Amino acid sequence: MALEFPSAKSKEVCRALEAFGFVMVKAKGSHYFYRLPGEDIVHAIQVPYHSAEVSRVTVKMYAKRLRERYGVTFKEFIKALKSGKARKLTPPG
Amino acid sequence: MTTRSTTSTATVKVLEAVVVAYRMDGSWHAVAPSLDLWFSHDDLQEALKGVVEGAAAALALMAEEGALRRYLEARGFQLEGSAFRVPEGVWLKQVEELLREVREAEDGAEPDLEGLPRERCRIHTIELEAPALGS
Repeated sequence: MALEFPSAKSKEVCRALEAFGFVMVKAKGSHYFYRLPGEDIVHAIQVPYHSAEVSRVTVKMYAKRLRERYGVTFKEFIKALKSGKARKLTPPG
Repeated sequence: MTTRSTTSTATVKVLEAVVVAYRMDGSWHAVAPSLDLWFSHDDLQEALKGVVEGAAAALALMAEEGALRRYLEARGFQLEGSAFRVPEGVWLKQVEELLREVREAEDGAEPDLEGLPRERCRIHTIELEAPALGS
């Protein structure tokens, strides 16, 4: 059975990224940029900070990005979204 | 819809990115798969505007950090004439993958490139000037 991704709020996505150890590099308007300390800026993750709901498809997009680059499982990401708690990541290689 | 931030000339480098907008749970969600960015809003035009602003913010940040060209190349953009764009075959795959995700998330929507339900899914191209790229 396929894992169901929830919709979320921007602040929940930001909180999950921070739980994994990402720090905000910069805010430009309503767009926030996160990266792991010591990681190249080109890998920064962008989160538009607004009140609209982040769709399930977009939540999955973040989850896939974290899985492909950092080995975070989908379950880990969903748990971090809900609880704001996660293991700290380190930049790959 | 094509959005250009300012008037460009043949010598000015522009960024062209494909944006998919889909309607889900009462909002429009615009996603530029090549740039890993998105924006959601009740209004389609505002959602697209959010993506344009997000792309501009990313370009500005990367330019400040001296990483703009690497940022674009890492995402598959190539310089063709005066524009940086992702090759068609690549963005088509990205769009197809995104549409599959939309279909999975909403049973029965079945959007695809051949027969997009126009009231639900649309494909746009955004253009932004990227003068910081240089020649």
